[in-house]
Amino acid sequence: MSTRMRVLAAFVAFLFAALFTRLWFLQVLAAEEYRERAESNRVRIIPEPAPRGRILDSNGRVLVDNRRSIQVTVNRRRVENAEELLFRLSEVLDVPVEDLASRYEDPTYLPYQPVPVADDVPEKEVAYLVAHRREFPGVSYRVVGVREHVYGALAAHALGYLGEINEDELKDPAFNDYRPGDEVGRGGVEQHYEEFLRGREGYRSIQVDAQGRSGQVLGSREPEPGNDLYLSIDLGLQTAAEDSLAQGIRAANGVVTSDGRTLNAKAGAILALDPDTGHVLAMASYPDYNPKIFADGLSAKEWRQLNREDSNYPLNNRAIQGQYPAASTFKPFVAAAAVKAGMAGPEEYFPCPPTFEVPGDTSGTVFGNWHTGNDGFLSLGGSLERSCDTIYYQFGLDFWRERDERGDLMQRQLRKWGFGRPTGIDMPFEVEGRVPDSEWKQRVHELYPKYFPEGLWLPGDNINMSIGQGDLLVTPLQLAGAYAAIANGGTLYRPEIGLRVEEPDGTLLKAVVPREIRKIAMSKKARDQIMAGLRAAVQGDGGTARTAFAGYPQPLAGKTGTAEVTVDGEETTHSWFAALAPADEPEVVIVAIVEEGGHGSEVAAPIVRRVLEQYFGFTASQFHIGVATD
Amino acid sequence: MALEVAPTRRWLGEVAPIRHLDPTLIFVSIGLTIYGLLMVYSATHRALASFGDDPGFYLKKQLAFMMLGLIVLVFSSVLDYRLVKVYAPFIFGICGFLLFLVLTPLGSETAGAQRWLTLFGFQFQPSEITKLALIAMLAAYLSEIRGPVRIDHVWRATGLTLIPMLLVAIQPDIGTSMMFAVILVTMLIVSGAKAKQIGILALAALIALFAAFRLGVVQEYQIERLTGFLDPANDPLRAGYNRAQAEIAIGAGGLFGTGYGSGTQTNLDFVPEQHTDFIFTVVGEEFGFVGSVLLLSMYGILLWRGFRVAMLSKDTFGSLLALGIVGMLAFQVFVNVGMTVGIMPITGIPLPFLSYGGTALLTNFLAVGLLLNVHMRRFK
Repeated sequence: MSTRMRVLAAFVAFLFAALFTRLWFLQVLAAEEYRERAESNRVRIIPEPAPRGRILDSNGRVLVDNRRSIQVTVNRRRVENAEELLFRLSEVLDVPVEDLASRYEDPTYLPYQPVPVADDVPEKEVAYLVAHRREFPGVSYRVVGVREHVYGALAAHALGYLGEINEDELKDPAFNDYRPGDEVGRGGVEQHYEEFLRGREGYRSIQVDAQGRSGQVLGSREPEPGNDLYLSIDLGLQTAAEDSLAQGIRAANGVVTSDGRTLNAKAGAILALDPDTGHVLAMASYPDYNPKIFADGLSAKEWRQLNREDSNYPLNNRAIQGQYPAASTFKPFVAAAAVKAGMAGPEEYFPCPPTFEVPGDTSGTVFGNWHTGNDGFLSLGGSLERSCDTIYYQFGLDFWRERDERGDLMQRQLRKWGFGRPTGIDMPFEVEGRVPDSEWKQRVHELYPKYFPEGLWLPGDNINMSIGQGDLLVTPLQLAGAYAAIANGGTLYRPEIGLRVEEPDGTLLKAVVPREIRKIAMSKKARDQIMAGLRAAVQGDGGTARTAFAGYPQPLAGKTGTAEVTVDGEETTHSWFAALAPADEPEVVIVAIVEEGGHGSEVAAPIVRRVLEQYFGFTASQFHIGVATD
Repeated sequence: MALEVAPTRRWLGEVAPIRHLDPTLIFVSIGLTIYGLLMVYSATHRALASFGDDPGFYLKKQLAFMMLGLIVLVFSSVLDYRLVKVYAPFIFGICGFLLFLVLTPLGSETAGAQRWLTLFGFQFQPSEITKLALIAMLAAYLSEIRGPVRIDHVWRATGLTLIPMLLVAIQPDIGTSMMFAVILVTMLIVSGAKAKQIGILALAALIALFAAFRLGVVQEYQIERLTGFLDPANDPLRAGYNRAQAEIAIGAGGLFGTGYGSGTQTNLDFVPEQHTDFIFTVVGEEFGFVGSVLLLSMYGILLWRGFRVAMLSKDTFGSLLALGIVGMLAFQVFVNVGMTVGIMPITGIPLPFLSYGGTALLTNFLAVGLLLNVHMRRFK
């Protein structure tokens, strides 16, 4: 026993020796240094936050503004009876006590940090709390700047929101002048234009006396407000796009179509581009979220809600982050590639049988057209009007046959339209889509032999890709950019949503100029055929979007698409539509997709129609589910 | 003269254990409490006055608790400590029940943790008393072991400790929860557990911790808070701020300190929680190295007298009881002072006798009372 006791005594002596050593270091060896630091501690730096720049639409209507908000905080260590305190606070502030309690209990705050429990508290109530501070131990307040989205959830994805800077970012030299607790843009233009929007914080340094009372101002710097960002977005068009998308998706959810399918539409995206500059005129993703919840401080529960599968991931900007098979909306680009490669003459006619088989293939694989009738011989334009799959199967096979001499020619041609790589839009988190080729197939086969048992690029791969299926994936933005290039005669622009940045006094700081990625070589004849085909697809006798646009008072070009996909093991289809309006001299390109929205003509086309009607000021038609065509 | 004294001595020696009181223990604990009263007043009076409150508010409250503490001291030394051994399971059970009650809606909370229980209008923290109850329980159990300590003894002792440990960890109060572990290990070592057995226990604890982390029972921020002190510059939750301010205050005190009531860091509210967890910064700043060493020496004397009690005790239970108390106090001092000088993580363990807080002070007096009790009855 007494040996063990000595062990314990020796250990305790060791611990005390450690304390003595440390105290000797702090108070004797390094005392001078600490005295100096204590001296400078008498100066208090009071930061003066700079208002962040506003975000406006192309007509100068303010979309995102700032306002001052008074936040009530509680220092939890000074609270003796939290329940009672929160109950009384709830009475004064007129906030449900559960709301106060759930913020009060936020475990990410240190015990010594004041926890904000209520925002936007009216000054009258703050004055009451100050006057009765002895009844509210630990309760204090502070004034903070809060981002205000003037139109609520409007353009939420494109605008982005603000969030507290994280640990990794603080280590990044790019965030040199940020401090913990600062806010940074998250997603959308708030993130991309962070350096312009963020102002420069000011401060006042004040000498404090031994009683902690503030005295002489030693120095100060005025806060410099951030710069205003003008977007190419048009408030009216954006509103129309969002309303139509949401209305279309809601209308198509649970609807039973004439041929007995039940549509299960839950999500989608819509984009409008100016084909002559590549500027984004509208961008929306459904479901959306209200950025106000970020400005108010997000609870853990709300964050989980935003990231759950059954809420359909409302934070995702499907316009740049959704990847889907392009389906028939891909045909104009395959047609252009076939003309360019010499496989199709622009004035040639092609047979459109109901089925297609690879000559010499003994496996019996049959590729069918989307309907069982025989459409006879069609021009290139006619192949787009009727969206004939079998003509494109032949193109796919032709490309495959020439692989030995010309390599992955089809893929190279399609990539020229911007598919398979990010467009470079001024917004973070854009995905690149996929234009699969023989190299890609070999690579995924080696990496995941279980899921990709075949490593060779087969005729069927090209055939499927020729109608925008197979392993091809595009984003709505890529597709819109490519259609804009058709509309303007072959110039692929880098899409931009920013228009210009102005200093607070209105001086132009930066203009976002349209940037050409490339000119796509396309003969006039080929372009005329494609445009004629796209016009006929909407307004021709055999057009797939004819019924959806019946009575539409303007020459219009467009293309439907019905993307076959497997969702949770079930086969279903996404609904696509792309429009170029007006057809003669397109000034706007609109692309819409509705996930699990059936055929392109059923949901996406009616949605786009309603946006166009509002954009051009036509009488709005009733929304109704269109007839199923490809 | 001798003839007159002898009967008195005999009478006192035979009949009243009071004759064998250890005055040093009493003086040093009262001395520490008074030291604490001075520091609490220095840390709080200006802030209170500036809010228009009574500047002596905390001082008076703590003074009242000291008086109450002295009564507790008398009571806990009067009854024979062997009764504690008999009632240890009962007391331990009640404490466990109270800890459970804290977690129910009957408990109230501060700083986001359920730690308090309100009884008859008084708030108290059952986890403080439970530390002593656990010491008594383990002392009772371990003192009954005949022969060498076997591994199943270790597991049973661990099982007993886990009850309050887990109940307190849920509150959550990781610091106090760790204190229970320290008490367990201390008492196993002094009752003769082999190094190998302690090693196995440590391994099991590591596995359990790892599992708790993987299962998400322990949150990442809790780990960060505990490890943040290793790299203050990188502290994501700004715990480093408190530590840095505490270090500046202590370092600025220098050899002799800035003098009572004139510590700028203390009074300008740079250091948070100066009257509770960070009370040592007031000592360090206002009384300097000399005052710090004086304070640590007082703790040294307290612990030395505690060891002496353990050494002199006539039975194993008394020894174990005393050593458990000594271990608990020693680690609390080390963890608390270590936190303010930057060599231990910030855990919210109060400094015994110094930190403002009623339940803790009463528990400390109760502990000293038990030490006196064992000491007084060393002959009988």
